[in-house]
Amino acid sequence: MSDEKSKKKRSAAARTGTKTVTAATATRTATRKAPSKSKGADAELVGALLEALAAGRYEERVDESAVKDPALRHLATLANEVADRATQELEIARERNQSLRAGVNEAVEAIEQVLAGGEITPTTGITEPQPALAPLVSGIDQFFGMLRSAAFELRHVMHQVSVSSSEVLAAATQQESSMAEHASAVHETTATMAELHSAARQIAENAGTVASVAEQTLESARSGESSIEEVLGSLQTMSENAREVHEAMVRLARRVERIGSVVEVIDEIADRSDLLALNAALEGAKAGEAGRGFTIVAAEMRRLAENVLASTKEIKGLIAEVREAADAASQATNRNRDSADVAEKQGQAAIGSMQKILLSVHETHDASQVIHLATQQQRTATEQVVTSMKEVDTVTRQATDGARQAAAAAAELAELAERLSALIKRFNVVG
Amino acid sequence: MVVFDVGERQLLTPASSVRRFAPAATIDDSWIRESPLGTAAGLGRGLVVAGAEGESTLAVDGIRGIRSVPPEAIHPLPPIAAAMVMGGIVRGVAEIDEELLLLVDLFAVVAAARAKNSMKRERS
Repeated sequence: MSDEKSKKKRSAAARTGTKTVTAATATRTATRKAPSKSKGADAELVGALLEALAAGRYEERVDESAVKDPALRHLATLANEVADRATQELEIARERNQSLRAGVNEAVEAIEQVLAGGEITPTTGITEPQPALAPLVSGIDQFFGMLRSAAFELRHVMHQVSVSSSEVLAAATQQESSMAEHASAVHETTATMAELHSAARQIAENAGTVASVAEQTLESARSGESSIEEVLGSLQTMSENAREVHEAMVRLARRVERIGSVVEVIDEIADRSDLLALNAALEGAKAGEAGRGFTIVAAEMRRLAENVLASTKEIKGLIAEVREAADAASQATNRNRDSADVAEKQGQAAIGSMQKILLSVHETHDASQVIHLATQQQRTATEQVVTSMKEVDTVTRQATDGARQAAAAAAELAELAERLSALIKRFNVVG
Repeated sequence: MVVFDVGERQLLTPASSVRRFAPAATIDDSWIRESPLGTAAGLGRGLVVAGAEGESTLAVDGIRGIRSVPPEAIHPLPPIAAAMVMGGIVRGVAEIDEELLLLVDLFAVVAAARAKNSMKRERS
């Protein structure tokens, strides 16, 4: 290596901050090895440089002019060249490192932007990466693409999940409401069925009572038919008796009329006797003392006549009373006979009606028996229905609880979907 | 004395003024029903009176009988008083069985009734 070339390298080393290993620095370095002033000093200079290089101090150099020994000077030159080369390589490596770091920082910054809620771009935007970073950038780009695609897909899915969870929540709420209404309806139906069962039991008891009463009514109707037939016979007898009484009363009335005629004759005779006695008394009175006895006899005759008149008057009154009584009795017997005839006809009609009633009562009795059986079956059926409805009520309560839990779960799911959607919205994807 | 009834009034007349008693069955239009004594409603008997114009029958409701009345039981009315009572047909009063009965003049009764009937016929 020429001196000029060495100078250039020195100046370059000066630009890069290299230090020249002088005799003083070599002495400080070589104090541990006690160098000599001759060849040993040159070797120390070169050795110090080599030690510095070995320690990574690539900025140090050897003043080649200070090395006397040509071989060592050449070695010193080579050592300086090695130092220069190492410095250059180090600079290149530093620059490369800085470039890589910048690229990595750019990629990390892009990732941090995404993590900070920034937009997920299709790529990192690093267009010309360092060749060494190209696979990393490419991988990150692919990761961005996958993340973007996943975010798109996730957002779409989450939208569907949110919509579905809302629908599920609405459906669950609706189902909960429906189940509550259903439970209420079932509860009311159960209560109603219980009342119906109570009513059915009461109806069955009443039907039993009705059947018993119908049985008694049937017996009473049969007894009533016999009684009516007996009454009808009695009415026929009464009618015949009334007819006989009427005929007797007619005969009595005729005899009373004849008695009345006789009494009229007696009354007339008595009246004439009274008048005759009056006239006799009058004549006796006119005759004075001679007619006194005549007058007394006439007075006695008149008294008798008046007694007869009084008796006939009383008899007339009695005859009138008897006539009135006979007329009343005759009218009464006529009415009795008419009533008996009417009653007989009514009795005949009653017999017909009673037979119809008996038939109806018989049918009623049969119907009541059927109703009694039917109501007993109805009571049993309602008992079964009430039991079933209680089971349905229990199941419905459980279903209602399940619907309530499902609604709560759906609400929780919807809330989770909302939260997840909010989280996904943090991944800002445009386009 | 003949004791008889006209309406509710019990009257007395001498037996000599009565020709006879007539039965009610023989009553006809010739009988005197209305008189100063009143109107006989019951028409029990007729008192036949024989006057100057012949027999007349006065309808009465009943004849109580022929009674013997002592003179001291008969109290005649003064003429002026008799003329002022019931058209002059009452002659006095008689006490019979502790009751006072009017003693009437049957001829005057018949005459008054006939006169009244004549006036009616003349008016009609």
